[in-house]
Amino acid sequence: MRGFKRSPWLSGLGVLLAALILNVGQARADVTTDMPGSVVIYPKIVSDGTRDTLVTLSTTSNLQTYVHCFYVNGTGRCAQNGVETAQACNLDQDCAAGQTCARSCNSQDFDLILTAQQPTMWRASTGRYASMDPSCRVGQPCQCQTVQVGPNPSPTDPQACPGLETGVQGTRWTPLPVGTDFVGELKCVQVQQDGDTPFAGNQLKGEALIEATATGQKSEYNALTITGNAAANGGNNGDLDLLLDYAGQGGEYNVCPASIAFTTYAEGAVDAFTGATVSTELTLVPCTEMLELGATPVGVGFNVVNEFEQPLSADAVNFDCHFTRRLADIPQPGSQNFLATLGTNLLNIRVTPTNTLRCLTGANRGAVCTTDLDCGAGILSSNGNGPLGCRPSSGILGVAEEFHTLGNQTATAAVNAHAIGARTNPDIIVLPAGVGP
Amino acid sequence: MGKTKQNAYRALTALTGAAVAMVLAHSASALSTSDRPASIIVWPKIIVDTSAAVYTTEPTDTLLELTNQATSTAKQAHCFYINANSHCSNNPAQVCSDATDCGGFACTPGWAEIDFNIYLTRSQPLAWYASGGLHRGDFPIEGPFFCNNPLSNIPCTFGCGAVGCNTGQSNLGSGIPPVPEDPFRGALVCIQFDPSANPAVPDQSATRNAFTGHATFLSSGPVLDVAKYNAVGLAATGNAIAPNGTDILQLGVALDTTQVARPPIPESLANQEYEGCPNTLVVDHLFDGAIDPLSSTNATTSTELTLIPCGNNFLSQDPGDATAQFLVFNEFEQRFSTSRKVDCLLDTQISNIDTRNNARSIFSAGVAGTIAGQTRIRGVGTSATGRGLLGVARLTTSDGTSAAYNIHQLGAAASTVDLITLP
Repeated sequence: MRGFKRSPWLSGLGVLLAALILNVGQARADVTTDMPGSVVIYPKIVSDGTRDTLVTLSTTSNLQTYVHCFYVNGTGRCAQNGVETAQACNLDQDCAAGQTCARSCNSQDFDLILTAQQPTMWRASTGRYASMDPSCRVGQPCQCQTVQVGPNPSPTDPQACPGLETGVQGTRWTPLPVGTDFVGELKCVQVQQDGDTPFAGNQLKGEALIEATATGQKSEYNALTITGNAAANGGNNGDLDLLLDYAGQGGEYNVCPASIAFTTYAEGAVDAFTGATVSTELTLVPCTEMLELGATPVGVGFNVVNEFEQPLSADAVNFDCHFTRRLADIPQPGSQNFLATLGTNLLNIRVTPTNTLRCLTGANRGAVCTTDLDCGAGILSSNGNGPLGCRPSSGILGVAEEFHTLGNQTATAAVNAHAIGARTNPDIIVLPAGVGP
Repeated sequence: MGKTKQNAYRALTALTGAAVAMVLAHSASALSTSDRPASIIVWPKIIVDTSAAVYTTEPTDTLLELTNQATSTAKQAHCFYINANSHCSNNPAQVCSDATDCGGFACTPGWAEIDFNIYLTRSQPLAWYASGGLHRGDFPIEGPFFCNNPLSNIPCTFGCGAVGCNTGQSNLGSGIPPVPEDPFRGALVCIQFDPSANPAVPDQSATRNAFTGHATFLSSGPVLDVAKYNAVGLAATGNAIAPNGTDILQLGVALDTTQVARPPIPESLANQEYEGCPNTLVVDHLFDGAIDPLSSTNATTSTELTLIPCGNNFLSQDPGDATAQFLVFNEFEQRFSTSRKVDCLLDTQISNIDTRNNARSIFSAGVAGTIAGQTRIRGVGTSATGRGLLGVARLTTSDGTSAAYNIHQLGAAASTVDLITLP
């Protein structure tokens, strides 16, 4: 009898709400490029003085949305005994004997506040000032204006574009400028109003437009999104360790793919319609990331099948936090299989993280390991005090960009890689503490 | 009074249970995808205009790529080119984009499909130009083949007798025609079949969802231009084809009971053969006429939007149709709206969706007041083939360059099913 004293309407409503909440959490359990998510990853941001990137970010929510973003600098420099030289590099093999390719993977962060359904965009090199001027009107040019902040004009002077302020009140800069010597990644996390606490709202989406500023040649790809599990029990716990361990039941964020795949021309193949010679640049970033703690060591292998069904492979490539490289320039045994000189024009390339345990931090960082003890002294800890020692080698995400060259022209096109399968090993994104607005 | 309460409680419990079931059933229906393998692959936009006569200002072709991601099994793709060319009423042989191409006579919309088969070996990538196709003899693996053991050194052309010819996995039986017209504007739909069945049937086997695809627009001329996008996929669920027969493919789950009146549309979740088309498409774009924030030459921007219906009746040559409702948001949180019929295929500059005067469009930067925008697109209608939409976007600038990108999707699958009827 006591049960009937409860309000049937409230009980029913509660069940329905619970179902609706659960429904929010029943997202497709993998990283996607065509659905909104709670973590948005732009693997390839280029601002090198020749090319620049227009970043687009928008919310699909009808409510205000809070975003905490991190640029991760993937620019490498050859270094000897810890002293960096001016020579750019991607891998150790790019440097002289005795030198290594050092990559700080430093991150710089900023916060954004988006109003309901608000889209926003900014130029990576300059960032964007919080300004509602100039405005656009019918029959007049609609453009961003450069704001000179120093005594002399600079290529990194910010742009002011029409639109509501997206920055935190009192801060003129909204997205920070990265300057004109930057190659790296942008990662944005949906957070609560405090600017720190991760929130599995799954309402962010984005694109990146990479453009040669002189010729206008452009490439565009969709940012990758990781869906958060919004379930009240067993979902996102709101701490600063984002576990990518959700595969449909329990867990915080969706798992990364087991492999990524894309189809492209063999290196040096000639496109018969335009007569252009084609080269492909592959960009990879790790799923595991320790923002403001250190670079993530990554290892990947390549499996290739050409149109003649010939299986080919290239040895594993190891890198820290960011990898951008033409397929023809991968200095590993087997990478000659990417070349069109072998008589093939088309490749189905599958990139898979090495299936090993690897020291994330510690004196033996990057080494294969079986326990934390193998990583030596200096193992760092995450916010939840979990050791960032011997863990499964990081998953990867990536995009590919084709360069079609004919005479003195080079046209470009980017494309998202396809995700194959789902990782069984969880990745972790460690956010720095206490950086909210 | 107590009995009344009990009845109210039971009624509400039943009502809530039904609602929960609907919610969960709805969420169980996944969406289309542009970043993982699937069994139905759709290229929403193919452009061929090798003489730059109608659709482009530079000679243009489309390179189509189809890859079998199954690592051990061969797969068959049964494909349909959808020709969405319009033709002049006074000269049916002349392709047109509007009446100005016909000297003032009507430009009559058209729709026609041609189908063909491709056989792909394990992990094999295959590419062809839409203008040329790929003819028998041009495929990578078509022989020569050798006899089975113990005559494995004898070419099959010499005759293998009772031993038989070992063709292994090959492209034999494939033939890709060129698109039927040049200029051509249309789409391509490929459905994964299981070639091990006799006759081959839409693939719901353990190795379903093996196809990935790309399309690359190639333009030569004073400005070399390349733009590439991922084909959109619809994954097979593994449910048996039988409830609908092998010639009607059901995309999604019917929750809208009004659609049940139009046979043959089963309501059951178990009858869902492929993931449903999205309820809402979301595309971020720069408004037309804005000055590209990256350009050093102050090039102006324009976005082409291509939408096609998910469902088609290839048997009766009846194209899918739906009305696309557009909600457009600028950077001031202001909202605009319009709608446009998608009959077979809509391929247009966004500032021509609502008006022919681009400068007065809600998709124009001057009207929107900002450079960046977000547009949500929802298909509505009562077509027997459903009302789901798929699409792709392409940013172009006045300097002659472009970049294509895939459209995001939002929410659960559409509440009605989409149907593809095979001939």
